[in-house]
Amino acid sequence: MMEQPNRGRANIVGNGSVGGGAYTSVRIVGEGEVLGALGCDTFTCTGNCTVFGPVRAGLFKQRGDVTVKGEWSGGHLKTLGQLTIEGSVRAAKLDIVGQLTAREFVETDNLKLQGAIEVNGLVNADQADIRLYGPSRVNEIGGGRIHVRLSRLTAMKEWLKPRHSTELSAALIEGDDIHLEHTRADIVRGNRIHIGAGCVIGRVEYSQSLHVARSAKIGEEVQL
Amino acid sequence: MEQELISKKDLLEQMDISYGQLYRWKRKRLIPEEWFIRKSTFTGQETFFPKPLIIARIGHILQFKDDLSLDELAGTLSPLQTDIRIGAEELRMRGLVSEQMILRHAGLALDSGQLPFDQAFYLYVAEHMSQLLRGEITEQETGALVRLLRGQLPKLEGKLCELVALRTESGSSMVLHTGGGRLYADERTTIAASIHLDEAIEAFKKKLYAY
Repeated sequence: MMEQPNRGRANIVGNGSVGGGAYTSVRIVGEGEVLGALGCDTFTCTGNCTVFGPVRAGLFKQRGDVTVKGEWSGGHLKTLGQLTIEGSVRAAKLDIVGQLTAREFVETDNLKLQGAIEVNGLVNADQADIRLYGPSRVNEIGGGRIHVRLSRLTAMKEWLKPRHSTELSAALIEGDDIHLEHTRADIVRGNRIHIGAGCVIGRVEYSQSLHVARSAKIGEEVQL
Repeated sequence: MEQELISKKDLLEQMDISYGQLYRWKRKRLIPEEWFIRKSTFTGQETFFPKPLIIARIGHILQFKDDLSLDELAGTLSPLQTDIRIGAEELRMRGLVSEQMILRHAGLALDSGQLPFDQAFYLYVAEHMSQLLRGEITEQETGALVRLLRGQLPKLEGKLCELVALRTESGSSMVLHTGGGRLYADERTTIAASIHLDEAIEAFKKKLYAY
């Protein structure tokens, strides 16, 4: 993003669009469009928004439905609703309640997600805390501490009427501390691994400890 | 040429690091994407790394990570990865730098058959330039070119830079040109060839890490 001397603010209330560029803040209430690459310190959107280009933002707060036609990079990304990114995501922190879809990889120090996630590439996070509300799919997860659980509400529903549709599927999960529930994965590798209820794992490779719940299915267990 | 590879598992064990650290360094671009090589093994997909490169890089990171933040560390690595050493033999086998060039111009940079990344890159640029000029460059001019790169490029790090060969009746000379504008020469001088160094470094890395 080019550094521009006088950067303005942009506000949309109701229906409207702004051009791309560098702003100190962008605020959208209602339905908005950003017609190009966007750089800003803060972005808030309540309602719908489409950005036709890559986004770089310090703080990105969103309730509703946002689509970014490009990559997203920046500091803190906070979502309540649905966020679709047609590229990669690089953020310091991700707080998501709802659905996150990314076409490429997701990189962050701290990922907190309640809802569903769909990522075609690698999810690379130091701390990943995922509480599933719906069917999720990622190609790979890698990082330090990886926790995948059912959300409490979904767990209750599942207990009343088991449907097994809410689960995470991944090709590979790698980390130091891994705690999984309701996850389907080909390979899980790590130091301390807990495989909880409802998991179907092809192969587990662990170095320190492995706990497996009775209802989990594992093809192969290997201690390195 | 086959380069020696190391699997991720063996790497973690040998360097005594964790998955978390490796992924963090990858996120901070301390380990280039192209070093992650996926291969199928009988246990499924596994990731491999070029062994000498990754071990040197992780050694470098471990040595400095307490003194510098990861972002500062990333700044010391790119784009000229001085911590990496490349075997002169490998440069020759991959057709990047000729044996003659190494013998005549590597000088003191050559240490037990290995060259630091940046020095190897300078020789590669010189080699490339002499190919563009179809060998119409004298030994002395090549030497001057290598000295120019060594002297000036480290100071220009990060700037877009073009190397231009000018030819007059009395011989040719090399100019480093930043800013991307055009050069205009008088009628006795012709612009014989030019190399964009940012493109050259990408091409160099690509050829060096290719399998």
